[in-house]
Amino acid sequence: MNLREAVLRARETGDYSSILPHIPYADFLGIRFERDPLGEGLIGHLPFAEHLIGNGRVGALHGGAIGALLEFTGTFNALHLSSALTIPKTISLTIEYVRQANFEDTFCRAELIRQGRRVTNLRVMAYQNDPTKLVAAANAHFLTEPVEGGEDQPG
Amino acid sequence: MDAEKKAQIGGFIQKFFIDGVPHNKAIGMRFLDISREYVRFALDYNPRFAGHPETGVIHGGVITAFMDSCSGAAVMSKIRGKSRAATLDLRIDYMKPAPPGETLLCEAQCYHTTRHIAFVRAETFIDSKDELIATSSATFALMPFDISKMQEAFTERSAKKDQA
Repeated sequence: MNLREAVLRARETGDYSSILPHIPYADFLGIRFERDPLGEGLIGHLPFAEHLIGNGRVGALHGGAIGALLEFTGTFNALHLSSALTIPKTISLTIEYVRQANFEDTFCRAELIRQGRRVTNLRVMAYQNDPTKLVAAANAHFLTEPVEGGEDQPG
Repeated sequence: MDAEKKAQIGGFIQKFFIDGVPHNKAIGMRFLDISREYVRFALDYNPRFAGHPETGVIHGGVITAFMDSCSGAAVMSKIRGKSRAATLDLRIDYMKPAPPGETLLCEAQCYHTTRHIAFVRAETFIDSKDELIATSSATFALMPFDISKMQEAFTERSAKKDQA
């Protein structure tokens, strides 16, 4: 099964985690996706692992690992919202780091800001044990295959 | 900056900011060069970091970690390690995909600092800046080292471990 087939299958079954084995970097991080029980979107889940540590003395995960979780969650939600079979491309990502991410599992949810015909704008938010206490958030723009019914200009 | 000083600072950065940081070590970044203006890191290609199985293009997340770390090193060398630096925000623009097999270079410049904040811009490219892969702009919060607080956190963590 190639990536395209995996995406097609994920659309049918709703299980987006089945795409992950096809993405080497997602596998390296150990990221997973679950359907949001309260909404339409996908929740990213990054289980704690030693190789994600950024600062062992203060007990913090690496900002780059959190950044990757934010980006993956954006990519997968942009994919989920579009009808495309190719993985959306990141145009830009603006991350705010607001709290230290501890040695715990990290989760991430996305909120759609605007779905254009080619550009999807999302807000992604990462948290640990308390969903109301964000550790980081980002605004992300993704380039997707043209979406039917997406808003016209700009993007 | 003379060669001896460069090697000394470079060795320090490699030891504490790369090898001493598990995620940086896992990604395999390397210290390359330092001057008064910039810090340069290198990142060799690894198929494990591909974001797409068929094209082998590196995932943006790796570039985020790479640029964040190189920018952080630029801050630390600018303030000569006098405080701890934590990323406040980081904006990355992706110009074009990183071709598989190529070593990426990142050059970060900490162009301004205040008492509490450092401002950094960085570029990731292949051989020269004519071939830009990504650019970034970041701010870091500068926090004085507080030994008592660090000890407190350490004790708390050990206590948690004992409970578990």
